[in-house]
Amino acid sequence: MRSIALLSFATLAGVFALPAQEARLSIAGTAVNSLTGEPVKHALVVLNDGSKRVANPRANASATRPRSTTALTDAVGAFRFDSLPPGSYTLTAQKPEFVWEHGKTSSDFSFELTASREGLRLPLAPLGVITGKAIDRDGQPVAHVNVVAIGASIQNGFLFTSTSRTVSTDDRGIYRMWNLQPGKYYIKAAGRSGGTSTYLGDVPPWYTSEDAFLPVYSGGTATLESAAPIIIGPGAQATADLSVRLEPAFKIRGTISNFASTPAVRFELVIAGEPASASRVSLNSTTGRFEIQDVVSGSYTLRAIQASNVGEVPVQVKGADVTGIALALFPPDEITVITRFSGEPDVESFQAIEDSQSIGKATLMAAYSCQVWLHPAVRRDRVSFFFSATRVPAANGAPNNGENAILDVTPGVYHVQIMCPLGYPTTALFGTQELLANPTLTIQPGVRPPAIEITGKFGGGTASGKLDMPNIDKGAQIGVLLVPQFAGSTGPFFDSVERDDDGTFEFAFTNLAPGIYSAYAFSNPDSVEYRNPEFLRLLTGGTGVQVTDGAESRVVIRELVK
Amino acid sequence: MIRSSRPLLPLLIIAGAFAVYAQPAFRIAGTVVSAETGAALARSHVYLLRTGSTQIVANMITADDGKFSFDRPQGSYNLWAGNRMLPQAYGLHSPGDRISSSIITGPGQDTSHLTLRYFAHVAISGKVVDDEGEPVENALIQVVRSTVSGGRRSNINITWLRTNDLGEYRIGSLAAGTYYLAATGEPWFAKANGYVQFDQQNGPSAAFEPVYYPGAADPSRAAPLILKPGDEARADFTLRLAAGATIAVNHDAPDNFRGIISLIREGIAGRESFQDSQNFSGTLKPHRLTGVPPGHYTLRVRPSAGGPLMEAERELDVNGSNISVDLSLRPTPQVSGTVEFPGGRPTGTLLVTLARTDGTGTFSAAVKPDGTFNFARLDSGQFQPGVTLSGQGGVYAAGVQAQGAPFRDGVLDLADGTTAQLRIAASQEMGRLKGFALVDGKPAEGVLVVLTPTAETKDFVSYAFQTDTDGSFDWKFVRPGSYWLFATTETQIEYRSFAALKPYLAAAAAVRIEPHRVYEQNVPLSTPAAGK
Repeated sequence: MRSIALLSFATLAGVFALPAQEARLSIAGTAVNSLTGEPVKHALVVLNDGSKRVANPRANASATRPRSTTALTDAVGAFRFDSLPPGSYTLTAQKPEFVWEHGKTSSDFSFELTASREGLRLPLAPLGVITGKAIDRDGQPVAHVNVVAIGASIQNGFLFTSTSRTVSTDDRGIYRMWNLQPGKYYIKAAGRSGGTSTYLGDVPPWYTSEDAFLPVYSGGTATLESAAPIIIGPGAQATADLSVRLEPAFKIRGTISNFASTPAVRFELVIAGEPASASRVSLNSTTGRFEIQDVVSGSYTLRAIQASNVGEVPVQVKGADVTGIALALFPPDEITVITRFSGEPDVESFQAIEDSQSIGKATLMAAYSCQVWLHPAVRRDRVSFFFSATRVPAANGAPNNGENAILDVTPGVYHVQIMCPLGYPTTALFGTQELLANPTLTIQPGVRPPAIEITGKFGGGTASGKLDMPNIDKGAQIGVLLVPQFAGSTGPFFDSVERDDDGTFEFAFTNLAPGIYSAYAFSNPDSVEYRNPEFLRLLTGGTGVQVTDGAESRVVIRELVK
Repeated sequence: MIRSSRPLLPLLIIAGAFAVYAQPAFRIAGTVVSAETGAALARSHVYLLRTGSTQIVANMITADDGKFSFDRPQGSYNLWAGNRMLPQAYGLHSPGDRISSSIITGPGQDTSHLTLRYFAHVAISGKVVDDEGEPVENALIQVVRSTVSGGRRSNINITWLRTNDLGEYRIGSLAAGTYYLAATGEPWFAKANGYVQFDQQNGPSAAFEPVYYPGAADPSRAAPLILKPGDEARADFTLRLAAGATIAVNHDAPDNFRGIISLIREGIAGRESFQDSQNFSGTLKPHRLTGVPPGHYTLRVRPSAGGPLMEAERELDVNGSNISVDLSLRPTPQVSGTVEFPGGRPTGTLLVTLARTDGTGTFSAAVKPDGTFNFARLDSGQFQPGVTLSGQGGVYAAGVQAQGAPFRDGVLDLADGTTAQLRIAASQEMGRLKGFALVDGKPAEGVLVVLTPTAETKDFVSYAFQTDTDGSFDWKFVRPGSYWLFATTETQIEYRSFAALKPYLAAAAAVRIEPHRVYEQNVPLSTPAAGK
């Protein structure tokens, strides 16, 4: 049996035999577990030939060189490619439950082959595993619980979360997730597995569901913000148990309208900003009558989603079934963004565009001068960003005016981020709401949102400076944060700086609104949640700097934020 | 009978105006016990429903003694109890049974000493390794249950499972009974569209042969796994490497076609077994299936929702060499038509059904107010047409005429490319038959009463009823005709099979049912004729 297996493995590599006349070099080595140094058997090693790409392989079969050659490592992790012609090659290795550590070492495995290479060590980093058990307050296992792993990282100063994995507990209440990339995870129990079932006729399917539970994180907290993350390093095996509090469950019944027969309609419940899976739902695909199971008492927002159409309605559940909920689905909205900038932009980079289009430079600059990002304020399965530069501006006659649109905005609550790299806004109105003072906006389903009108000035001031900290590592990445100390701004600015060749850490922020700022330096630039007001409130020890229009102010930061 | 006046008092005080609540309540009480040991089951979840409804009218969790008690108005109820997520009905004779007894309350009925026998669930777990002992992640485990359900023996796909990173799988919460298991998979390094960009002309040359419990390579040599209540069974598999072939599927699907392409082989217990199932796009020509082990296959393309409704199917043999096959897609069957009601249309949602003759599924289409219907989506196959009033009975297809597709012995044969028109004459001309099953001259609960036509036809319809707690049976809607009527304690008989019924017919009573008549007849327990 064993020899047959090895034969088959061997033929896999043999398929890619190379022309003999120019083949004389070898590449050989071992795939290793980068954590333990142990050899990894039956890893797939892929050798990519980057030298001669033949445009039409069929035209000259003898010159054909396959793009990739593969081999499986043997029982002691060894691999070997023989009869290779000289050229440039790239090696990678892969195996389930491992990830190729390409980042730090890519240059070692992408090379010009002029002489045989032996003894290469291909690093495979083991992936992580999280297991656990869901129990109720009596310690009894709870089966069919949706267990969600939420990956978390800081991006653009926001806590960015996304659902990495959803699994279900088995009849013993046990779940297991594997192949987890190193990172930070929150483990949450939310709803029961089951999904939405559709039916025809007058009798919905019956569910036994006299008890259910609110979303809960491992450690027992109700929200992600208060939960303790599980840190998964390479090869980590973590345990995260979930203790659910079973409460009487009720149903939400109602009717959706303005929906199509396909694709499937998805229902979501959100309670106190926390998605609570509406996982067991029956939906009559002709009448739109729906019944949501497993809902415990509380104040919810119920959403129904079909493709990009969304409907939303608040629902109060107080110790009884809720009936008669009417939920209409609406197509996504479009938000117009109008920018009016005064002054003269000081950039030449748009020259080519200006030359190719018959609109004034200032108009074009204004259209492109601000980017508007909408970050969903409530976490969902998919976190999306919307960005204004999606449409070529239409000149509306007035100098320095531009118009743009954010397309396909799903109704919801968003944090607005405005970035104007050529100047700074002085006002940003969303209807009557001043976004510079209150950067949270709400898009109602079926209600056309007003335009975002940004008025600003080209130019602005510059804050430049350096870090005066002799003890920082040479290779360190330092994050510099500039926080405006005045109302009505677009919020803090953040940049990651590295050491210059002359040994100094220099930074510069341009096109700033005039006013007083505080500057901070962080040794962990990947985890600075600078758009969280609570994070900013707790900051101390900043260095003040006064920025004035058209001038450069210098600041020296002497210590890192702890 | 115990008549309780206790809960009436508060109700009368609160809602004296609601005279409807003042009707007498009757007690439904008893114990949830283990069917195996007879011991009380602590903390059982108990649900009470009105017979024929899906709304729970009362529920409770028992204490350690497994005892439950409800006081409800006179009527017919269904009682379910046991594990929170997996309750079982009152009156099951064996685990996984689909036929139960209702609780009939009223004067003279003792429904306060019920025993609900709960069958413990079973679990199957195991590990899948390759022939070097390495765990196989993502192997596919097919679980088939062999059971008598609805009067016929059928082998039902219970579920498909995937192994985890340790090669392990587990399925719990199963009813005890007879199971068949199969494991398939592909070597992880043979995934053409996954990790590696292989040479598209050759594809990976390795595949795993399917294995049937307890390790057979041939599905006809698969052995059943027979599980008693409470069993924890283990079924491990070793997948052997074989030469894998690439199948280049040349097809004529339009560019906007989206669907699923499946490679199917004959599996355990006559069921289809999936070797591979992938997304299929009309723009990808040819579609390549890689790493296919030797065998005889059915290649099938079925449409996804939203695009053109087209399908294709063909057979092919694979023996280690790469092959090229042609596949021509044709429109899926289209069925529309009209339903006529000589006696006027009943109220309620009326559905036309097309039930697969092998019992694997039913398509439904709602009948519009003008009597027309149109199936939005069908697959090819053999179907029995019918008409039902959703959630009720009382309607049947007395006559079906088909145009555009063969229709014989009540079976509609739908091939791809077919456009069929059905004219269905729906009838409400039905009779009612009720009575009691008698054991030693007394009404007996939990007995199976069967009504079967005297004429042996291919599409005969027989009726079965497990008697309720008062020993009664009641078919509210029976098609007119001549029938045999008998009662048996053999609740697992295959009453959809004429051969299985024959031994009982010698002692059966002849019954004639006419429309709109109500017949009352008691049935003594009969024993099947000797030697059969």
